[in-house]
Amino acid sequence: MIDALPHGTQAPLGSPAKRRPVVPSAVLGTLIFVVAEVMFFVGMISAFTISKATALPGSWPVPGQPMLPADATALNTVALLLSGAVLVAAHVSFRKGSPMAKWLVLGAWVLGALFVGLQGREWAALLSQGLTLTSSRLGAFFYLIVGTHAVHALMALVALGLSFVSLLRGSTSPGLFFGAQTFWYFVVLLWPIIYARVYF
Amino acid sequence: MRSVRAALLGVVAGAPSSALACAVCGGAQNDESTGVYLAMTGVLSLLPLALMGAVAFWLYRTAEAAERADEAQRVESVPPQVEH
Repeated sequence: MIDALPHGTQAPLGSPAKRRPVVPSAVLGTLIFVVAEVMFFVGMISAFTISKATALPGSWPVPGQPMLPADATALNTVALLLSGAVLVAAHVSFRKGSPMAKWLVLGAWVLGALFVGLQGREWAALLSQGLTLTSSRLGAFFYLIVGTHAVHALMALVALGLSFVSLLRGSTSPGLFFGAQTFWYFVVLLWPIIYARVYF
Repeated sequence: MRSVRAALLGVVAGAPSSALACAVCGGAQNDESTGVYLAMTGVLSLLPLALMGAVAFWLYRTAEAAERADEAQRVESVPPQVEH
């Protein structure tokens, strides 16, 4: 955590300075976690890219396996991106002290939940068509990468939900709200990369 | 002796190009997969540095901005000097 003196105060000579955080600990902690998670996902995407590039001619897309529904997933992608935009609006609203902030957080949460729900429906359809974790390399990579992203999305939804509840009670700490936001932006911004790499 | 050293140096300098030290990269079937290996190696090598650099830069800028705001507030709170 980086500390600075409180606004408008000067440390008296010889006395320990009272310090306040410049960046909330929750945000800094989430940021460090996000950096580690970015490398985790990039490692998996890298393995997928190499596996796809080195596949023997005619073996990718895997014969007899369903194609990934790129068109249908575009709707999920729009819902998630929209959720990120609504959360940015919530952030601005919160900074201004507007009571709209909590409803915008709820809107972002609903759009995020819609994304996870649509992804779940897509998975059910793919599983019923025979694409499983062990059916092919595509299936293994797909469920690993997209599944891990879904787990992160669920965790971020829990954090956003907690932020909403505390905003509703009027007891929100900026640390919780900004930390949850940082994590949600990571989930939102990572998805288009996964979508572009894995689905096409 | 000097010529032996020069010959050894030449062998050491020239050998890696044909050694294909990485069995995976060297065994790439075509130019496209070799390109992908190189690109991914670049991404995985440089991205951590870029991420850490970006976080450090952002923290530096945030701390600097807070310090400037403190300084401005301190100047505002000092009462004006009255000359006698």
